[in-house]
Amino acid sequence: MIWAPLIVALIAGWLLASALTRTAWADSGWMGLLGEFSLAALVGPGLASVLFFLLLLAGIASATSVFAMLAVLAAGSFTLWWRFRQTGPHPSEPAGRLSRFPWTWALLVALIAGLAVFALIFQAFTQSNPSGDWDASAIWNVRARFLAGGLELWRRALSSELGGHLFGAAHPSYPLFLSSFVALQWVGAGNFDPGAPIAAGLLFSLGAFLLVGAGLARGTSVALGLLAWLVLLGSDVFTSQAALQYSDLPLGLAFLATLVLLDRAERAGSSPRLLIAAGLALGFTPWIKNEGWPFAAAALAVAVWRFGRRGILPVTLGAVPGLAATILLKVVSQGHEALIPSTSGGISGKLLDPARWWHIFLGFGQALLGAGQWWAHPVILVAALAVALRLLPAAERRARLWLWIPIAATLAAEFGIYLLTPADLDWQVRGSASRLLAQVWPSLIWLVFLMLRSPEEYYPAHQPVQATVTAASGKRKRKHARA
Amino acid sequence: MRASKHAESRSGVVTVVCLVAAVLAVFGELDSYRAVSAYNRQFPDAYGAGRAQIRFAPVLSRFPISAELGYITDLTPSGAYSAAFLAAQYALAPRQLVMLGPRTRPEWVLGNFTKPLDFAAAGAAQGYELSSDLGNGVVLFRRRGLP
Repeated sequence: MIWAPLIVALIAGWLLASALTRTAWADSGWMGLLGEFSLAALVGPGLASVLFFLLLLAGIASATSVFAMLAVLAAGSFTLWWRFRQTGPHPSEPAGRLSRFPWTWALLVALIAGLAVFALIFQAFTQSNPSGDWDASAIWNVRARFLAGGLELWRRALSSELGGHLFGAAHPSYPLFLSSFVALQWVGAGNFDPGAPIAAGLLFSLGAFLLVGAGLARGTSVALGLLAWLVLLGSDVFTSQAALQYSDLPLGLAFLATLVLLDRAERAGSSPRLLIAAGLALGFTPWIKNEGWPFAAAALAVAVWRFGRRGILPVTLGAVPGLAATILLKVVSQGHEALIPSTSGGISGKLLDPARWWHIFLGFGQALLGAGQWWAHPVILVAALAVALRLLPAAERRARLWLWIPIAATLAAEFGIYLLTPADLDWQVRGSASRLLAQVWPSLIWLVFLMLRSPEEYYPAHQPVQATVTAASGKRKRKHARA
Repeated sequence: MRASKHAESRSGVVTVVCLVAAVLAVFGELDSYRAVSAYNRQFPDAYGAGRAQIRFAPVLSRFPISAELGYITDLTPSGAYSAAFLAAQYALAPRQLVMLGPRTRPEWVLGNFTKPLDFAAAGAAQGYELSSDLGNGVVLFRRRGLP
């Protein structure tokens, strides 16, 4: 019974992701399926967490209402999936891939080994710390326990009393994506099974991981996706976060999903369904963590810029669940935390202090250095691959540069928060810089690989492939003609 | 034609770099595994959440989930103090732990002690009397003067 809410949420998420994004994965084969699964890991739990929060607000959260809510979510998702199941590939997309990189099998072997090691890392940490790391038991999971208390007890999760007035312990208005999703599983199970937050952590980590490679697969290269996966697995900043049961990797998944879907929407001629899906992911970012606000604002602005009036409505519509739940949460939470000094003198004093700037740069630099071993550092691996594979032509690179804006805005906002924080700067930077890096790391890997040529381009055995593509296209044309 | 030949001439370099990057990534990950394993051997249950769930288990059955319990400890405010409080709160949630104060005098108080001492005296200093010693430094106190 403990797994039933998670499985139903995941199925509902897959149905909805498939209905909204099928055109995006039309020519990605098995990697497209992985792409749909990774989006399901965000969409299903995201919507379930929002609906559970509404059940709490309505005072009707119970095992029965949780299963009823999940059944409604799954039924609604199925209806949409059924409605859009016939959708084929977008006509403007290329029908096939380039030639095959002859060493793809070796990359696959390395990937399987990498996944096995990832499983070992996850298991090793979880076995020693089944309740997760510090913030998991002090913030995310303890709030989930309060939310699962039902009746009026769930309001304790939003109270400044939580944490016994210890400095930095109470976070009354912290977003609830992760806590709410874990809580609904506990309510469904009727106990605080430690497997719920562990499974949620694994799900979101896998979602972020899979989307990096799957997001590169379409119309370009399987090998490039495999290399991106390997570099991500070789990033300590990613693998060491997976088992912590924190909200940083779910946020990383939402960041990446937004960017991948905006990219796909542009390639698919501003597909409204893809834009709704992008809006859904974008809206979840502030529902996962406060760092999602600058990202959501920047991504929304970028969507308006790139898609114009056609984009505003679908993106906004998609963002409604996450944004509305976050605003509701801010309204009902009892108290808030000061992120910046209350006086203009305090603000200018911190802004003009060069030591603070240097301290933050050092903090981010150290977090980046700690992203991997020096001899296998992901930045070095990416640089070596960029030199070997070479960048895309300048025009193509420029056409994709806009996708960097939301991530750049998020990092700039984080830098600003560090500059102004009333808390001890050293404590703040040491405690969170690596987690901030973990949030944007999957997106950064994806964005960099998006600028590279694929290994297949250096094996131009075009003839047989062209023939296959032509044959496939002809077959499709004949099918269309029959239809 | 020339572009195609140029691409083919680079295929060797591309292959070597891709394969070396793949192998290094996996070995880098193995090194992460070694570091995580060593850390976990040295600091199992690093923040005490697991131990707290074992220590405070006898408290759970004595109070409803809506209970609000005061909190006293022998630790002085520091990192260990916060960690001990938050671990206890995690183990007992959704029961709420509150710090005692002039206006906060719940009927029941949880004592979370790290070393043997005169628990009754520790409670009496706060106006509470010892109700039960549950072992492992976990003690329940009740406010004085209640029937």
